[in-house]
Amino acid sequence: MRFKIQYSALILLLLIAIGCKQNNNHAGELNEAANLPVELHFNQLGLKVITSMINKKEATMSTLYGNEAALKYTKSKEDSTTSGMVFALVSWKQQDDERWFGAKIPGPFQRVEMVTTKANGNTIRTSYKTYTGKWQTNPLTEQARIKYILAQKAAIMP
Amino acid sequence: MNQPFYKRRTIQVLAILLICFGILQAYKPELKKEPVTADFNGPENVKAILKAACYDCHSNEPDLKWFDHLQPAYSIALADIKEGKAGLNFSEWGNMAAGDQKAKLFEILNQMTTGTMPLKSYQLLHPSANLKPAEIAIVKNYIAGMIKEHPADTALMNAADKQFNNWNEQHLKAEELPKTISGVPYQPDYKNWQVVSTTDRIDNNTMRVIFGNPIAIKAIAEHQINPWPEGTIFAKVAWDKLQDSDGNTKAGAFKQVEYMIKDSDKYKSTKGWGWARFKTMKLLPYGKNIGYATECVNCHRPVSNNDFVFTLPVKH
Ligand code: HEC
Repeated sequence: MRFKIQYSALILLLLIAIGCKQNNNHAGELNEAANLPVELHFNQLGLKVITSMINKKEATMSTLYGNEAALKYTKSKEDSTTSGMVFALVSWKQQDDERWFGAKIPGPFQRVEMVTTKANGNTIRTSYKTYTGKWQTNPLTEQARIKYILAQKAAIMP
Repeated sequence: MNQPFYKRRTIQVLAILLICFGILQAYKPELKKEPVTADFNGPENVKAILKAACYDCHSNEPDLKWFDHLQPAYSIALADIKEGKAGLNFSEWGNMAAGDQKAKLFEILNQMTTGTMPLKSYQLLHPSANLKPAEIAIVKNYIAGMIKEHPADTALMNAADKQFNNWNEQHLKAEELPKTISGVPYQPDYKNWQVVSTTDRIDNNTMRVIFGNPIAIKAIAEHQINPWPEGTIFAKVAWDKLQDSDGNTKAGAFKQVEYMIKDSDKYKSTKGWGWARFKTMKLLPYGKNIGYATECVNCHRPVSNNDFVFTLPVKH
């Protein structure tokens, strides 16, 4: 009897040793660091994907979202802004994908930038705000950011 | 009460087992010899590792040990070789296109680092196939050397422009939607779904957005994702990466959209998921024969403990 217990223990240890060789791949987990702040209720804004981009130097990746008007603008071959467009650019720091050598995925959440357009008489007024913990404007850089966001084209999705 | 030796029960049982074992040996199907036509052509130190750990099941020159020749081990070995070679055969390596070779190498590395390959059952009796971290590092180093990121050339940029200019939204009727050979359908509605995550694939210079249908997004919100609920659908869209000289990268030409559709009954034989890939703007279904989904499943085995899903979801 004693003998048998020792034997089973040995086999068990052997199996555990083999099993342990498998790296922890965080099964069932979410990408906690990359999750968007809950208070944004981002999914409830009803925005759709326009495109996504990567900045290799900064090691960041972003996804640009928009409402129907924004989507239409980024798909059109002309560059004329209309009123009622809503853009949201979400950015993350990149991290290596532990589940696939050769891939990078979103790491820590960085910010959301929103650009909206509104008719103001005969002109279109564009406004900008960014969220990094609270909503803010950024007079220094916002013209450049608005220009960058409005210059994006829709990624092709058949 | 001392019984004669041959009457003892354990001895009798052992004798019967031995006879059965003997009879089993009579059944020995032949291992078909096939020529090595285009052997793996990587560096010698990498090849030596693959030879020791993988060639028994993934080449036309398996080196079976004496105990592999005993039944039932022999039948198991034959089955492993047949299945193993179907997905990867180092003896026919050179017949693959360069791009496919590279993709296969990354798959190989990921199977090694996760301990998915070589098979555990095999490692028990073939300790020499047990990969040491230093050996995996050699393979990794070789494969990492193939990662080449550089600004997009004009051909890549022109392809993207051409696609964009010719892009008109198609409104296909249900009966016109493309399907894989096994009947897994293309689902045009993916563009209206929410995002599960994005990936930057430096191994093949594509970038991807992974969309989830409302069932998938609800499962993420409730953190019930292993297993994913019935009816979950993922759509992963891949584009060329268009990098400028500053390292700013945008999405170029559309390459493909891939689906995983959870239906445990319908797709019982492929781990409960329907697998599909539609390539180019023509949405050509991938897979020439009904067995194509086995390839999908095999590549996803490193995440078999995660319902065969690689993507780490981001709550939006
Ligand atoms: C004992 C036999 C055996 C050995 C040794 C073995 N494999 Fe496998 N391999 C298989 C089988 C069988 C499959 C099919 C999937 C399964 O059953 O897990 C497979 C599948 C694969 C696949 C997926 C192929 C596809 O269909 O796309 C890859 C990649 C792979 N093996 C790589 C390796 C590497 C690398 C090694 C060595 C480090 C190795 N294997 C050693 C038996 C083996």
